[in-house]
Order: sequence, then C-alpha cells, then structure tokens
Amino acid sequence: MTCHSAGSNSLGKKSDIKRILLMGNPNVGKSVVFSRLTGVRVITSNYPGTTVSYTRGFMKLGEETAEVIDVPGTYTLEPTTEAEKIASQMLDTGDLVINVVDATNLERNLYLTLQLLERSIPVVVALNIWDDTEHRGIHMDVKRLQGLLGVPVIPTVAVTGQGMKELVSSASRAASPDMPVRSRDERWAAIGAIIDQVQSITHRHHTWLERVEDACVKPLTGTIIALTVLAVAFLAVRFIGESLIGYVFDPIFNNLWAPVVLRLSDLLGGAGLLHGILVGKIIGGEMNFVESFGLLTTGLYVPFAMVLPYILSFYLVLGLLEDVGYLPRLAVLMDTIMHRLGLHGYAIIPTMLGLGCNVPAILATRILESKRERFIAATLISIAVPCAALQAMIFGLVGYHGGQYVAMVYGTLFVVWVILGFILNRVVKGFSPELLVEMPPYRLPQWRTVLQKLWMRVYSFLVEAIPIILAAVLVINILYALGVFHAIANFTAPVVTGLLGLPKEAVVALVIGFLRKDVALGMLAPLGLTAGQLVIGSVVLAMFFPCIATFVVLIRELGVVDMLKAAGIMITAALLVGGALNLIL
Amino acid sequence: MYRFLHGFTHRFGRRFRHRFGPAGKQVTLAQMPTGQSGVVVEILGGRMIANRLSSLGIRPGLRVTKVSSMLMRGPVAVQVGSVQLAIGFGMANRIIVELERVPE
Repeated sequence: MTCHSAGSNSLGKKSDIKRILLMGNPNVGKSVVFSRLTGVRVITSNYPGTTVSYTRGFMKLGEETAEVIDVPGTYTLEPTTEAEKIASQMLDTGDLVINVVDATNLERNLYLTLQLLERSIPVVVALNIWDDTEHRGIHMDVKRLQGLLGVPVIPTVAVTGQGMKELVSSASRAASPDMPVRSRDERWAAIGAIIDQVQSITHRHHTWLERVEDACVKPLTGTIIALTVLAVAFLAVRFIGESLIGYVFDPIFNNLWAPVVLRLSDLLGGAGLLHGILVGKIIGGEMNFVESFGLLTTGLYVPFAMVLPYILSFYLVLGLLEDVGYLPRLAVLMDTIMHRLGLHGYAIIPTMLGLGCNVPAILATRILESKRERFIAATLISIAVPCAALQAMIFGLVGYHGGQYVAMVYGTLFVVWVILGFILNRVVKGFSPELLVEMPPYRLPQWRTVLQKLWMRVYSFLVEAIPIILAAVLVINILYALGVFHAIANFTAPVVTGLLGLPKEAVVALVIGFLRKDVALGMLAPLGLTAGQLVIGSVVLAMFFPCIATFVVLIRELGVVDMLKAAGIMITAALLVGGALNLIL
Repeated sequence: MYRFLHGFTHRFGRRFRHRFGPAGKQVTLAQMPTGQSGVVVEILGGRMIANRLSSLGIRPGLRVTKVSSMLMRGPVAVQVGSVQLAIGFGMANRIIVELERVPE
C-alpha cells in the first residue's frame, strides 16, 4: 500500500487548480479536446504520435484561469520513447489530470488510467469518441465505471464538442482515489474485472472501411494501394499547385502588380541603390519577377506566386492522408525497406512531414525509440528530403527545361537517401528496434478540421518564412553592392567551378541557402545555367546544409556533437554527389 | 471459451487451459497463418518487450487474429479486440500463440 503524505499536493478544490494536464493513449483525441477547452488551435491527425511536444493554453475554470497542457500520448507511465518521456515528466507538475480515454478501446486505455489513479493527483476521465461506440456494438455502463474508478467519467465527442461543458464542470469533483500501487499483471487483472462489469460487445459485421484497412496492409493489395495513393497524391499536389500559379497568382502578379512596380521604377529613375533594392534589375522595360531580385519583385513573387501555391496544395493533400489514417499503414509496408536504412517503418511519417518542412519533421522523429534512429532519421531528412518551398522552386525553375530534369533531381535525392541510410545503418553503433505501432481506424476526414489544419500550416509559412525571404533578398542586394560576394566567389571558385561545374557566382546561392533554400535556388535563375547545371545546383543546394530554422532544431534535438557529425556528412555527401553529377551530366 | 481467460494473468491462463480440454498447437505469431486466430500463451525475451507489448494490448490470455504479414520477414498485422497493431517480425517471433481450432 502507498501513503501519499509529505510533499504530495492534495489539491482538490477548484480554486487551487493551476495546471491541468491532458493525458491519454496516443490517438485518442487529446489535442481535439485541448482545442475545445482552450480555443488554441493545434495540429491534429489520425495517427499515434501527432503531438510530440507539449502545447499550453488557458481555460476558464469557475472564476479562475487555469493553464491546460496537451501532453504527448503515452500508453504507460514507464516511458519507451522521447515523447512518452516528456509525458511522464509532465505528470509531476500538474494539479489535475484530464485522462482522455478512447471509449471504443476501453480495456487498453484503462491501463494508463489505473496508473494515474495510483498517483496522488486528482483525475477526471473523458470517455472520448463516444459516438463511435454504438455502431461498433459496444455498450457501456458509465455510472458503474465511474463508481469502480472513483473519479468522474464523462462521455465526450471532442470533434463535435459534445460533453465538453460537463467535463469542465466535473473538474471540481475530480478525485484521487487512493488506489493501491499494483504490478503490471495485477493491473490487467483489475482491468479485466472492471471491463466484465461495465462493457458488453455485440457481434457485428465488418464495415467497408475495415475491409479497406485490411487490404492496405496485405503485401499485394497493400503495395498496389500504396503506389496508387502516392501517385495520386503527387499528381494532386502538382495539379493544384500549378493551377493556383497559372490561374490565380501569376495573373495577379503579371496583370495587377507589374504595372505598379514599373510605375515605381520610373519614379525612382530606373536606377540607383534604392531602385536596386526595391525593384531590382529591369531588362528592356520588361518585368521579370524571377530574375530581377528586388524586394517588391522577386522578394514577393517567390514566396507568394512560386512557393505558397505548393505549400497550399502539399498540406491539403498531406492533411487528408493524415486524417484518414493512412500513414501508419504506409509505415507497415515500408518497414522492411526502412530496416535496411537503420530505421523502422514508422520513420516514414517524419519523412513525409519533411516533404513539407524539415522543422516539424525533425521534431516528429521523437516518435522513434532510440537515439540512434533519431540521428539517422534527422540526418537523412535534412540531407535528402527537400521541403515544399525548395520543391516548388525546383518545379518552377528546373521544370521549365523539362520534366526529365525534375525527375533527375528527385531520383538523385532518393538514391542518396537510400545509400546514405544504408551506410549510416552500418556505421552508427547499435541496432534499430522493431516496429510496434497501433494502426488507427480509417475515418472520413472532416473538411472543417482539414481546412483548419491547412490554415495553421499556411499561416506559419506566412509569418515565419516570408520575413526571412524578404530579409534574404535585402541582404543579397546589400552584399552585392558592397562587393562581398565577389570576394567569396573568387575564393571558392576552385570548388564551385572545378568540382561542381557551376559558374563561380553560384556560391552565393549556397551561402544564401543557409537562410532560405527557395530564395537561394531563385538566385541561380539569372545566371543563365544549362539544365544540367540547374540539376546539380538543385541537388547540391538541397543536400549541402540545412536552412537556419532546420539548423536550430537539429542542434536542439540532436545536441551540438551529433549536429556537427550530421553537418559533416551533409557537406561531404553534397560535394561527392555534386561532383559525380558534374561528371555524368 | 477463451473469453473466460480474458483479463486473467498469465499464470491463471495456463491453469485454465489445462482444465478445458486438450491444448491446441502452439506456434509463434510470425508462423501463424493469415486469417487464423489464437490465444497468446507466452512472450519470450526481456521484460522490456513484454512491457511494451502489454501496454499496447498484447499479453498472455488475449485472443489475437492475424490480419496479414509482409513479405521478406516484414511486420505482422494483428487484430486484438477493436485494435489493429503492426508488430515487427522479430518481435512477432517471440510471441507464442495457441491456435484456435478452425470451425469446420
């Protein structure tokens, strides 16, 4: 038996609740409950491990304001991954736990609940996904469950908001029943006894969604489905992106914005430092938004008319895949291949996120179990997985010369990903753990959540990326005017020209790549490169070094030593691959 | 009849099976044919593995149905209650199940 006395906080009264923790198994909808309670928008998806760090928000609790923390999902308080470690550390800092439980999967979820009830912290249980129990043939006696657990149990449907009011008002009744500390087997036995009393399941037939679920993890049908899904996703991203550019953004820039800038150019006298910074070069009275490199021309055209359309289309498609629940099944199919790269199948999820932006992708490697896997995954992502912004520029600039050149860039990066993973798997000490993951049921995505998530991601691009893009264009103009780039270009000419076969000015793009890779690739546009040189430039730029945002996250997640190792690998690999391409092309 | 074992510990599970008729054939989860159901008897290997598996819902006494397995020693997908799990081949090889007799 335990005795919680000295040191433990016996906070039961509602005025004492300062910090509320939302805890529960992965993929039970904690983040949706969090959004409902606090009004803070967070990214939610239908796969375990969407939330890898904690998010905080505030809610009204009676007269007081309480802090609410969305804790990463955990199956047990004995942590096995970085995300779970964060979860169990958080527990000691809270005054109340809202334990979010998947009502369609009560037995497994109760394990964590019992562990929580053994601690000295007051608990309320939110029986979430309640609307799904009926058609799954699950009948539950909530009153009985409440009695057996000794804490309030509130049925909720977080996506519609049902039960949220009751959940908030039950916080004052939260209790910490002094449950005895049990061993694992004793806990399961206790859960078995509870389940027998509160739940009965009637048999029902497979739904069509469940048949699709099964087909997705069978070798033959699964492979066909995966190839189809990925091909359709790629085509959809391409189609939506190009349509937005061709029918919306390009016309706006060419028909509405170009006359304004040309007028401004006239007013500024068509030359001078200020003209150079704002408008850039105008050749023969024609507006060229890609090559002029002024703040008001290229500085706006790159983020809005080249990158933003692809950010929109990529995150729309990714959001749909996430919310359906397909990604964990892709992980199962990819598991055998990923093991050769020193990872297991679930690493495909951070990798897919990396195709949008490497920053959340590297954070998402927290769902992997070992330090070794995280190092390999983060290194591979920052070397061989180009972000949506860079890809948009590759489509725009390289694609201009023909699809085969775009294919060359992607093909090279893919081969690098495979070979480098293979080498890292041999070289980095340790072994990769086995895949063990829960596959979420397929759900039809709700437009509201999909669009909300899309907006959050687009918004963060707008506020985080665009200032850096504008700053990069400004810095480029000033450094050009000061002649700094000229000095660098001459200094690095042997490597850039000799090894990579690019004009010596291209080094400037590599330097600017540290700020933003999309702008950097844009800087290659006025150099009049051949298609082959553009391929080399794109590949080297993608691999050479992470952008500043990714760099900061890599240091934070891997530590300085491992970051230096990763950076060494990047530079070496980029020069080797760039040199090899130069010989071939 | 295996609903009986539901929620009981490993030790209890064994005792019950002895009482109720002859034991079925025991294989590893990796060897179990697709579509077949069985009851988990034992998890070989360290405590860590048993801990992780049990927190996800695989433990002695529970009935599992194999949904699929990938080629080339790929992961195994199983249905446990309302949950579908993917388990790496090596781990699946350490889970001993007693095959349920297929109704004829």
